[in-house]
Amino acid sequence: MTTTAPAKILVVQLARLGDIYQTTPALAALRRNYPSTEIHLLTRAKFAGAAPKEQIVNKHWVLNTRDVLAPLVDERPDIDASVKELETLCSQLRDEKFDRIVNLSFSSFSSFFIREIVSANSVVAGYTRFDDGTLSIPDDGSAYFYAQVGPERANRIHLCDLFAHISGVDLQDADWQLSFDAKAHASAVVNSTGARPIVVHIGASDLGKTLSWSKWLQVVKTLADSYEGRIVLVGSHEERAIAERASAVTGQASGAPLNLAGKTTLDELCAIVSKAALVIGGDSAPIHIASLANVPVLNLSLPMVSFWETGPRSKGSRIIRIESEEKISAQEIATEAFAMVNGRVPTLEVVRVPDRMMPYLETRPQPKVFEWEFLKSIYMSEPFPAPPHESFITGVERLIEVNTLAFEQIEALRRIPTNKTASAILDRVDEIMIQIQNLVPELQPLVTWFQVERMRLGPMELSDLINATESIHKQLSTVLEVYGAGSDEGNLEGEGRV
Amino acid sequence: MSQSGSQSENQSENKFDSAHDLQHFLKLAHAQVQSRRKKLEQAKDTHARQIRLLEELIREQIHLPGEKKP
Repeated sequence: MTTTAPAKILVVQLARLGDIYQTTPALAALRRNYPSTEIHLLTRAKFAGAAPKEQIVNKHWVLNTRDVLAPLVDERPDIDASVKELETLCSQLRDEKFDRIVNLSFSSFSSFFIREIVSANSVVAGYTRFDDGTLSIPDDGSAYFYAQVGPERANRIHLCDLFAHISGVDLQDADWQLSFDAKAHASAVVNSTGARPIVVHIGASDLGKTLSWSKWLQVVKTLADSYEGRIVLVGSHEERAIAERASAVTGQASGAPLNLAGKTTLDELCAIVSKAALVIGGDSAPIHIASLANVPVLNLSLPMVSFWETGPRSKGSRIIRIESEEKISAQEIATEAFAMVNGRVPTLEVVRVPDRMMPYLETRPQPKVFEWEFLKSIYMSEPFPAPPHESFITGVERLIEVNTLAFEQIEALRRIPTNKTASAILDRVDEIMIQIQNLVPELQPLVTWFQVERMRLGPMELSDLINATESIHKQLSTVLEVYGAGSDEGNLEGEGRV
Repeated sequence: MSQSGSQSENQSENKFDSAHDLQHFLKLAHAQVQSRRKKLEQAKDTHARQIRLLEELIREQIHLPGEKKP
């Protein structure tokens, strides 16, 4: 996937800690592919400690949100001072004249930010803005993210792989690497003898991504009752209070857990995680640190997150899908943890992580299996799956009618570009397609793909817009024809990708 | 820096550390920034882009609803 080495690349990751750790493999792959390229990274100052060290990144820029917003924290906000602070950073980045800018942030602010730092020769991947302020998604990987990524969607591509794809590189196992200050001695935990610690992170950036505190207390107590090694609690400063309560439980085997929540630097946290026998937690930074260090993870995955996208990658990890925490006991979680530490087979129906470069192994029936197969045919040239039910075909037939209607309006607009009726009908096509999708949810991957492709067109001359819109409708019709009237098994076996 | 200026700075710093006050001031600032941006856009002033960037940063900070997706 690599091309001619760019002289200077900027990777922008303005999200939180976990996202920075998940960006690390892509950065390492860029370094491996382009050893002589100047690789710059931009993160928020608050999360700067998670950035990989100098071996991978030549220059680390930070956006200090606090400095930008400080002049506004007043009865008479100094807007000009804030703008100046922000513009100073933009100007410095613009002056670097990056050949390539890769925005892996997927936020509104980041898209506006990228628009302000591109130079004439910059090739951008990731969200940015057209001159009129509308969202611009120049690359297919980011368009896939916009359309298909999220816990309610069928996507099963991990963010690490997607980040690499958007960065224009393929990952290798060696790209998962944890760089931290080796002198970080968080405590005797790192150098202690005997059984390696089990590290537990009871927090998350969002409460919906982890168990309730009372459940965690039960889990920690059960672990401490039976594990001979140390139970170490990690977390942020905000999580100190609950970790304090958890550390008060005295286990029969390992005594009181060691509470390091809010007491470690990120380097120290990395040192602790890399020495652990096991890391237990929801979707949070320690899980992603463990993936980089190849330390097994017992990931407790709640419905708010998609483990397919942000789950652990370290060899031997297991994921417990928890639909509701009432349905699983602390004892069951602890028993699974001990099974992992002792190299025994799973005691629960878990998702297994055989290796960082291999897909997850799932034994339970999965939701949205058809949608995922359909996604792969639309985006990745995989064969089209058989229709899941008769109403899917009915939905396709309705979409064919809408598509035909759209072609008629496009022709009408070609003849008379000022034809307002044709233009209005064409605008309604998107709405009708969403209504059809609401009736047949399995059509979501295709309908969303279509909407995002239309959105990506951006501002252009009317004649160009008509041609581009027609092209997208033609691509849509190639998929619809596979399932439409007169289709047979032969069509389904054909390769996809629109 | 004058005595009063220093005191003022300390007060701002305290406000920054109070999540409630921070939200309050940023919401006020957001309204003013948005208003200025709209005026600049109407006047086709290129500075509107820089103001828009600040507006988006504040919006993100105080979790104001924006586009459904960016």
